[in-house]
Amino acid sequence: MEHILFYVISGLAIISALSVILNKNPVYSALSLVGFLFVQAILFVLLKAYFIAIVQVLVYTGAIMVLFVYVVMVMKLNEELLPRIRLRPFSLFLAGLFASYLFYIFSKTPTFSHPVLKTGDISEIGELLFSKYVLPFEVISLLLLVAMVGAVVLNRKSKHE
Amino acid sequence: MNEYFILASILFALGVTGVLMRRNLLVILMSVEIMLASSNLALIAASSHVGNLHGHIFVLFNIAVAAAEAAVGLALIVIIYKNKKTENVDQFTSLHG
Amino acid sequence: MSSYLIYVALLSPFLGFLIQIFLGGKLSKTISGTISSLAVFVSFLASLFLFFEFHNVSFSHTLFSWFDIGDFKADFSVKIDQLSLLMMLVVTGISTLIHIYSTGYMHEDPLFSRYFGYLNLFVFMMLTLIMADNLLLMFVGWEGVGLCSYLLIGFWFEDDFKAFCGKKAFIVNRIGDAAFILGIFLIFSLFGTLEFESLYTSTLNRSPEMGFGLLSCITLFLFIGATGKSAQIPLYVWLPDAMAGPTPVSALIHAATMVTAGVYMICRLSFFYDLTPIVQNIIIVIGMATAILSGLIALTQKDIKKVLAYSTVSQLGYMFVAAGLAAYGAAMFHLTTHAFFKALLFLCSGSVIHAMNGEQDMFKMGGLKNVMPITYLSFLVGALALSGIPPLAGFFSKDTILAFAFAKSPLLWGLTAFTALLTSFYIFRALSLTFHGKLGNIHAHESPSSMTVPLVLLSCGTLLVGFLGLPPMFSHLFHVENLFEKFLGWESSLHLSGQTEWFLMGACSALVILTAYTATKLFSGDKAKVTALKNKFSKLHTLSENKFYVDEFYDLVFVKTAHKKAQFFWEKIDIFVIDGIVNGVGSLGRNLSILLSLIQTGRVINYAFMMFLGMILILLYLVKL
Repeated sequence: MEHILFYVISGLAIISALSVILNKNPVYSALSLVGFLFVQAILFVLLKAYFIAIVQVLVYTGAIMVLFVYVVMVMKLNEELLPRIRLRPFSLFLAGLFASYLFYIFSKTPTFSHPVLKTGDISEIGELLFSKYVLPFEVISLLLLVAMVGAVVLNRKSKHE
Repeated sequence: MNEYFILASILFALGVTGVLMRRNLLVILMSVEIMLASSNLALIAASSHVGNLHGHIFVLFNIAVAAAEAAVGLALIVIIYKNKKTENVDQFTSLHG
Repeated sequence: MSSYLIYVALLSPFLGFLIQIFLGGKLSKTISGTISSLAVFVSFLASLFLFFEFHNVSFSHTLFSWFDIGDFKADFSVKIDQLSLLMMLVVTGISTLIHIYSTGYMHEDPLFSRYFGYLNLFVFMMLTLIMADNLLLMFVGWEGVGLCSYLLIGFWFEDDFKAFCGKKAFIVNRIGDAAFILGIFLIFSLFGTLEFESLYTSTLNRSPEMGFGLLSCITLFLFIGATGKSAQIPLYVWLPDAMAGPTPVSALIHAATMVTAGVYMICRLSFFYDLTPIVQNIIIVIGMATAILSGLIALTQKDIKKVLAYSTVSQLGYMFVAAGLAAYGAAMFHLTTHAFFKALLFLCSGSVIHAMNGEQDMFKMGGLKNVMPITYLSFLVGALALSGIPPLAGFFSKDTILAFAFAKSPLLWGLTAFTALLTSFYIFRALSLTFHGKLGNIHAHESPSSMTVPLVLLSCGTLLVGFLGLPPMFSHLFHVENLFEKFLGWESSLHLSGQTEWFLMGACSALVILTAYTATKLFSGDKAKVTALKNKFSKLHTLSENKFYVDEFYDLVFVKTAHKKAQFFWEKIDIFVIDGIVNGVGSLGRNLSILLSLIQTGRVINYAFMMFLGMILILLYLVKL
């Protein structure tokens, strides 16, 4: 049952990813990305990473994607003028290279006979986050602040405009 | 459980293809998000394998980085679009040597 | 107060130099000349005060610390003692007169203030040389006067020949200077110091070197330096050509002061030379050979300044003979008297040249006696003094050297006496050709007072300065001490019997007077006799007239070969090898970057492609399976 579910979900994930990169119109691409990220959240649930799945939905599909769609709207793209998508051989070649090399690496990774982890318990994550990873956590918060300020500064109207 | 890794690899390769193939800056950024997300998948899978939650923490950080990257990246795209009136990367050739 | 005076003496010419160089163009010629002369005169007065205050003490005064590296230390410090005081007086005194003379001589020159600037710089550098407390500072002065000499010889540099003469002087001096600095290095490695006082104390308990050791090397190197600056064989060739400069410069630098620096240096370092008898003998031989050779050349020169130039070389040879005989007092005495009468002779010749509108060939002169009486009388005084006719300056100093030479060996006395005869002959030949005989149809006139006054003053000096250093038998006769040697502290160590000395002196003086009379007779009257004499010794005459072909020889052996080598290095080594390497490196870099710039397409996709490729390579490196 779980296997069948996994294959269905992974099929959906691949299809939505393809739809992101092959859609001529960025609006459709963005919407496909929303779908992709949602499907990925389901994969997280299958891996018993419940908290991460929720964060994925809230942050990615909720916040980031809204941002994307908003920008796409701001740009007022004219669909007739959008460039045609060309399949560039070297990009396919490079992607193939990446994929095959990653396959090779994972095939060499020792496999575990059974998953040790029972649940992705939120309290355990919180404990780890605020004990061992407290410094990276603070640094990440600083990074987000910097990114926010940066985005504001970049798009602020300068005085002489 | 190797299927998760294989899936992550495929998705990552799709992200690479998108970055290299598309000329629309927005779509390139979306492809980068796909790459990030696929690495998240690999991390969660590995975490389940090993049996601890460190991978989960990493994914949390990754999502935060992705949020920051999206914010700055989109701001840059907006500026570029304002200045060049286009988002086709093939027309940005001022670095030509 | 006293240290004040040192600053004044040393720095007032330098101040004059600065004013001339930076403000010279804005000042009128009168003001410019006055400032310059005044600067040197102030220095002279300061030297005079210093002389009265310190004539019996010796001390060093540090103006400032020059540099201090590890255990090597050199200060800009001056040494005040009898020797340096004497030289200061001679240099500043004669310089003052020559400055005044120059205001008249150079009056028509457009580069008036530059000339005086150089002259002031020269005085400053010469004072540095004289007053230096260590060899390094002395070397600074040594090079500085060389530079000024070069600048002033080539002062009329529009004339290619004159510029060439300056260059020649500079390059020939370089050879000597290289040896000089090698000597300094050797001294430092041997004694670890360059200060005269500590050098003196460290040589106190050394015994004279028997063979040719390290100390002899040092003194020989220093002597080679002296041959460059003081125009001795083999490096004398630059001095006759140095006459291309303005005549007052010839008088000041190339007769009275700078060229005596070598003699001064040997006297300053006499404690070294006393320890190396072999080098002392070398000095005697070189000095003697120079004196005779240049005396012979002077016999046939047509240019009045050339005669005086070779005469200077010859007299410097005398001084070196005296220095080699360890008669440093005599050397310094001859230096002093020579400074007076040779400056006088040069200034007279300058006056003549000025009157003849730049003509220097004596055969085109003649009969100027009545036109230029002051110049004539001054020249006569100078000529008498140079020949050593009693009781003028040259007589006493030359006689002292002759006596020392006799004490060493009669042969040496014979040679020095022979040189004295040569001297007397050529200077009276010059006198007769210039002033006696018939006056040509030229409009000559006596020079202005700015030029004649220094002549008169120098004549007085020439008449009187000799009495400062009376030889022993005179001092016994008149109960007057030899002030000069007493002052310098080098008491004469000569022990000749009274009769011998009287005899030598009498014989020499008689011969000299006879020669002078003959020369005057011969060249004043009929030119036919001269021609007959010339034909009789035609070979010798040609040889002498062409300066024994020394210049040609040097040209062939040293200059031509060096030129060929330089040509080779320029055309083959420099252009092909060195330029090839340099240009090769440059074009390699350029071509490589042209190649690399092909990668810089400016297309974002290509950069992304490269980035992913790099990522794969990094993964390959990081993931070790």
